[in-house]
Amino acid sequence: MKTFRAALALLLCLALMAAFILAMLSGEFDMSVGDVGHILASHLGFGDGTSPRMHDIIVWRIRVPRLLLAAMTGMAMAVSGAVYQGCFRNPLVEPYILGVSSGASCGAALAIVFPALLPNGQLSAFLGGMAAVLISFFLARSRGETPPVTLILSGIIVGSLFSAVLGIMKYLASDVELREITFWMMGGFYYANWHDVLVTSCTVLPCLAALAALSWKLNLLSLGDEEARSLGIHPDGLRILFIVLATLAASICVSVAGIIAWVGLMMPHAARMMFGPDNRWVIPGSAMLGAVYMLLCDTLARTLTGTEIPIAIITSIVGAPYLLWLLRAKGRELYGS
Amino acid sequence: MAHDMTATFFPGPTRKTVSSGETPSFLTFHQGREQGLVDKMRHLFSSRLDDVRSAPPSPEYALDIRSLSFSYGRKNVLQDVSLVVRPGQICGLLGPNGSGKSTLFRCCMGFLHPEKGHIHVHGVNIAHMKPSELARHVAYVPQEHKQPFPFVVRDMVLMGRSPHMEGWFRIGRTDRDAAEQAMKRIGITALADTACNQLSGGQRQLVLIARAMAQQTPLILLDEPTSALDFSNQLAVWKVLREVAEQGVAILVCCHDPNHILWFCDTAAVLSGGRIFSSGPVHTTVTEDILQHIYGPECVRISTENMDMVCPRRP
Repeated sequence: MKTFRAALALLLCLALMAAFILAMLSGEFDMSVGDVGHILASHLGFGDGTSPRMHDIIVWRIRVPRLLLAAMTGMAMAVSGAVYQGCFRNPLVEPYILGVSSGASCGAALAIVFPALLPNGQLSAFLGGMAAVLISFFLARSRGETPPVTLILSGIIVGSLFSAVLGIMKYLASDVELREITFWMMGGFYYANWHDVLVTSCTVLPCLAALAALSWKLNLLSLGDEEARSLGIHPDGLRILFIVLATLAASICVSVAGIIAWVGLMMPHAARMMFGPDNRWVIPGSAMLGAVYMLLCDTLARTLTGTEIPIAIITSIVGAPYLLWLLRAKGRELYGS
Repeated sequence: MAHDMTATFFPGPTRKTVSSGETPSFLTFHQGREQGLVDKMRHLFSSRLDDVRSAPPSPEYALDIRSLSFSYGRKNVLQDVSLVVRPGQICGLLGPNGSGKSTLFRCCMGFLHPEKGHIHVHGVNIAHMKPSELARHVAYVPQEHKQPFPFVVRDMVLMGRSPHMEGWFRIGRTDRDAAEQAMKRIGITALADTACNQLSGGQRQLVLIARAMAQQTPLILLDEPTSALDFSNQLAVWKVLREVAEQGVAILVCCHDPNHILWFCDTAAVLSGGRIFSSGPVHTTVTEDILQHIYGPECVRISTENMDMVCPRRP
């Protein structure tokens, strides 16, 4: 069992590398493996720096940050989905369903329209996302229980509330701001740059590392409050810690890449199919799967047509039927109890 | 009627006090010849009872609950509940719905903090313990229920080791060994790699008991362990519980079937309206009078040479 899972994990690492190489090579501008390798090597300090300037800009200033950002976003969305599912004991939730995406985008839009009030886009995205998930949770909670369907409904309500606030922001925004909000809302990595990569990796990667380290406690928490407590953890405090870490990771990604739905639902499920429900495997597994999936979707978004398709459209086209299938095939098991 | 009598159990003979008002019907036979005896006993034991109440907690008892009171807002749920369980004993907790059994359990697990009274486990007061510390003293086996994530049996049992894991919850050799040991003792080693949702209800209950064993606590609390099981699974669970008790673990089990308590428990406590109605060795506690008091006059207890049984009265 264990060797099987280790082999699967290794396979996932290889898949991630393959996806990286594929994404690196594909695009409007054709480049050979040798060119790309040469440029990467010269930036990492081994090469002679003789590549054409055009190639250098495309690889180092456009593709590399974009792919890193896409991979990290995929990881963050998938892991936060897995964490929400565990700590709400509900296999159907993810950042988008819980309203985190709407909350974070509302926060980010506030920062665009009122830069004087909220100078930091990432921070206000995090606050918006945090507010959304906490409101959804406490709306759904009654007598110490959070029924799965109620949680989903309250997430939808909170999401639409924040979307309405976002509508007001758009109404108030100037032409330039409106354009900025709209582009960013569609979700995508067009404007990825090294600054975004730096900000994201400094916040998202530590969050993911902490979540992976806490994964055994997530197993306990997913048994329910009473059992978790009888096994020696403090469920309320721990749940808040998990929510803060997962929301921070997801909100930062929303603030750089816009709303990207369903990844947080599909990837943890796929990881559970491969590794079983133990979160010590599910969290790293869904991080890898999320990165691979996001790289592939982004590559599709860039290359499918002459112009770019917003990546959120691709993830939704794949993700919505997946949720439908999940409800039809396993619905009774998921919300019947 | 139950409210004007208190009964407190301490190890040794049972003490019953009729405080005021009319005598409960089931005690009427005490009047006359036995009334004097009751008075004598009360006199004899009252001093000893006071000693027990004020004495420092003895590590001799695995569980020692002293005059515990709890209320949700104005509603008194537990009043002056005292109960002890010795190592190696199974104590059955009997009582109608809403009598305060779950609240008593929640107090013992530290979910609720009692207003008055103390709970000691092997002489250690559990109030204000951190959850991780408490989980090294008390294990809890919840009612059989479905989980959203079907962990495999080995992981489920390993979770019982969590309070013993250090730091970032590293799982060590000792933890794995303890989990294997627990599965072996309960006899579910063959199921180790099976997902919990593929087990029968009885097997799931055994897994939860194995998890409590792996937790290596001196006290295990079980909440209606057999309520959802068929007869053979019920017997299997009780057999395992007897074996667990043989190893020196104290068990407090809340159970709705008086027969199970008569057949499988060493001591019993009857909870009614938030008070201990009677408690002590099982055969003197689960009597026909007491059963009729809590379950109505339809109850009879039949005793044969080697078996007691509670059943409905024949029409």
